[in-house]
Amino acid sequence: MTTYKLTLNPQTGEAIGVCKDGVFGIPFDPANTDYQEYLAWLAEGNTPIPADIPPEPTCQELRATEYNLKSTGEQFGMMFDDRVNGTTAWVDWQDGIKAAIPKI
Amino acid sequence: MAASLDGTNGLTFNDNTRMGTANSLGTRNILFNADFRINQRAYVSAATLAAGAYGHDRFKAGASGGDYSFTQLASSTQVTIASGKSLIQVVEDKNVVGGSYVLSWTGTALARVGVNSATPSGTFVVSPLLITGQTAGTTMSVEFNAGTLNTAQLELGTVATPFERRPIGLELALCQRYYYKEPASAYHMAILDGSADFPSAFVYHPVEMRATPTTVFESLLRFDYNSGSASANFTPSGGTTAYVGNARLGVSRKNSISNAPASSNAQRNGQWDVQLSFSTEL
Repeated sequence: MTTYKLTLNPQTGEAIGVCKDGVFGIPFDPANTDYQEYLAWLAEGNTPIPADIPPEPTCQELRATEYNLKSTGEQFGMMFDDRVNGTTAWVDWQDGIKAAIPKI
Repeated sequence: MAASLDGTNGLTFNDNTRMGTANSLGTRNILFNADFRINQRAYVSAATLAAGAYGHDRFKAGASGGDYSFTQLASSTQVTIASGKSLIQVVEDKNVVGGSYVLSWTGTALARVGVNSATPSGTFVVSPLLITGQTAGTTMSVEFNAGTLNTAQLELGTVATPFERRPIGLELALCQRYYYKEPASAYHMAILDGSADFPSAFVYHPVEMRATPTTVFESLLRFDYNSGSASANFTPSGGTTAYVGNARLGVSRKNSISNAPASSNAQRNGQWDVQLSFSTEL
């Protein structure tokens, strides 16, 4: 039996097409004959399988994204400068990320 | 006499070939791959070809299937359509100017046509076949039944002219508007986005396709990317395919892979060894 599964743009959540039988990626284009077949299938009263939803990123993943914006060498440099100058730039930067992305 | 000109046959050359109208000049044949030189899907001689499935480029099986046999040549290749089977080619509406057409071919197969977007119907007849009443901007379909077939030509006018032989590069480009398959192990610029479950491969089609194409992942191989401190890779598996793109530039995506690397939410660039095929067949 033919199956159609909706597919989403994972970044916008917008439906962008359907996947037929797990193989054929069909766009929502009225000129595409596979899409026309899908519309006929819908008209027969069939329902597509819901789309896979991308999992929400965890707090650790979101923080890691921010941490990775500075290289390890750059962070060592910040710590060295803080030690020499008596500043807290590296700790402040870390605290800022933790405050912006609190644990859930 | 080198040539003659009269009001009935138009221009007749000394080898008895004729030009019936000025339409005989230039690109005449609106059938593509009509001498079976291009076989991107690698259809195997005498294999089962289910109704609606494609064999050589632009030719699909009729309602009862389309099995046929052949010995592939570099030049024109005759095919033999099996008993009870048929092959159909649908001509895109944008290539149909309307009026009278003539269909000619070599071989023992018989043909029938469907005009004005209809599927072929009626009695199969011998070559040449005169077609009238075709409306501009609607599809035409030709269907060949059991027998041998080669050098089919569908052209404007009422007089069948010699088969138009096009360069292989041109013929391939004409076919790629409707279907093409990448070489095996083709590297694509690619990204991992979101939670790294959704790798996308960027594609630039060799010619503008008829519509936004249906995409198939023919093979799924390694995705190489930089993890931030070192290179890494994984091989996607499972999940389903999806596609977003347009007729010229596509971004193909394989959704919800089952073994994505654990990672941060950062988007990563890489290269993806994947073979894709694209179809906008009619």
